[in-house]
Amino acid sequence: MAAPLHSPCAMKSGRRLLLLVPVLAGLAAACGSTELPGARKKNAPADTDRAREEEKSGQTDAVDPGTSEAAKKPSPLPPLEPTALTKRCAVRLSIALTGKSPDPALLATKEVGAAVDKLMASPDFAERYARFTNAELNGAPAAASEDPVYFLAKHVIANDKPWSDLFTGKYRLEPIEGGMRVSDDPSGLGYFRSDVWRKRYAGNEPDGVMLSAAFRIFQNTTGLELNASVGNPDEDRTAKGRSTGVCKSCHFQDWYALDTAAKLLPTKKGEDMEITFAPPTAGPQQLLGKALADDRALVETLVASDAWRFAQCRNVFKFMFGRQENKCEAVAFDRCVEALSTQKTIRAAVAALAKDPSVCK
Amino acid sequence: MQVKRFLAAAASVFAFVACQAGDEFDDSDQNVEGSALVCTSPPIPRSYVGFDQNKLEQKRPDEAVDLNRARFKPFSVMADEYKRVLGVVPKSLAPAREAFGDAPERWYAEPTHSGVSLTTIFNVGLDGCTATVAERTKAPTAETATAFCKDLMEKAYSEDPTAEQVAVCVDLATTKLASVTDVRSRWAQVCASILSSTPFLTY
Repeated sequence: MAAPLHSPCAMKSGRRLLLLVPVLAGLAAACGSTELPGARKKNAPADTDRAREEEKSGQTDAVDPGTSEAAKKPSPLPPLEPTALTKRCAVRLSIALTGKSPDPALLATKEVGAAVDKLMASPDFAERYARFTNAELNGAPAAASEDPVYFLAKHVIANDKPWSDLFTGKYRLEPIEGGMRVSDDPSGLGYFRSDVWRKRYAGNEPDGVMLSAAFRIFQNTTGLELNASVGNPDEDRTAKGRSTGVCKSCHFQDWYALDTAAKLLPTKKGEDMEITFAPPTAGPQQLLGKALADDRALVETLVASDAWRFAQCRNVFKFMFGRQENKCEAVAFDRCVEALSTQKTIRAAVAALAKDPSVCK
Repeated sequence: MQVKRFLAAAASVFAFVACQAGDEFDDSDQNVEGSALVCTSPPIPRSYVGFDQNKLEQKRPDEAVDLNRARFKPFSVMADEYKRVLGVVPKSLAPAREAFGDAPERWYAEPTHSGVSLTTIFNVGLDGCTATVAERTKAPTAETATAFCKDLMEKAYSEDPTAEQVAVCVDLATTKLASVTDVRSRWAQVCASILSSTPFLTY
């Protein structure tokens, strides 16, 4: 999901580094999404035999997002065979899933699946995955009363709620002493509408447009990666300025058009502790191939996509192995996606990978 | 001087482990080019389509299925790990928390190590090992070193050590550290070298 920096933007930021004025903190104007021909050749799968064959045969990648043929009619995955649990594997599973050394009962367990079930029933799993998620979806640690991702993730995992609830669930997150309270709220939207999250990612766009929050919504749900760019000292940084030149693509043209998405979000008023939010007034926006009425429609569309499922299982791989999946691990990855799609919980998605025989190789 | 000798002992075990990993592959030209590390028979993956209409699975690294699995154990497990292997938790472990890169509350960080942290790890291991070899009053022989190395490696690595691993450990105890006149110190250094090697420090 990485969008390489457009070359003119990169050149600008390199040449005028000392003159840079931080205008749009966090994301700023994440200029450019057009891939450089060279970058495409270097990073894209054009390097692989399969991709070369596809290019030769004229196959195209174009499929409607979230409605791929594979998603509609997935081919059956090979069944999981029971795998004997070695001591070394018990250590690996225990530390990866709970952050703890294996206890004697786990070491006495004979089969990987049973060991995984024991470990994932532990509150230590909810704690570890909530921490992991917090670190993946935020740039840095925060105070306990300003940490909605961690507290909601832990709530969702511990109560076996659908993982999508983290992003679209109807919850309220309120600061309390030593943490945050999670309660039901019909107007909630995961943690995205919590006051502390909005303040954290309100950004500093001059007119209060929440570009940083818009980027975070895309990043958190689909793993979108953008390289932040910076403006020149005399550059027009208003929406009008961002709608021209190399900034136009990220802000108004690409599938994640940040300014368009931000119109679905509130507008920031005031600074620091005095920040308040005014409701959006621009009305429905055309984005992600449809007219989106509000931020709920935006996030729900993102969460209903292949991109969301893919990003969640890539995170599951990072959690289990400290790295993303590779080509040889495609079947294990597909098991994760299938478990997430059918059983809905992140516990099921992690278990699907953790029980794969390759984990203990 | 003592520290240098300790580190040399640990380094010999590290180097040995690295050689072992390399020995899993033959020396053909094919492997020199690194093709043994790539996925030679990739499964046909399901396809996932992004909002930009690209296939999301296409940029996966071309690596073998069990590559890059070893990760450093986090600080949170080290007390239990030392206890499991040595029967004691080294007193120097808790103050070394920062050397292990432990994550703050509600946060997660993949442990990484530097020369400083690896030195600290050796010293923590030596601290714990010194307490556990207090009863050893005779210098290691091939026989006693073999038994010691096999037993400790099995506990530390959570699997049976290879013959080569044991041989290197025995050589360290009987030859490379032969100039260490303090017998307990010699056993402790052998022990600490095992607890500084990657099969113990990773999972």
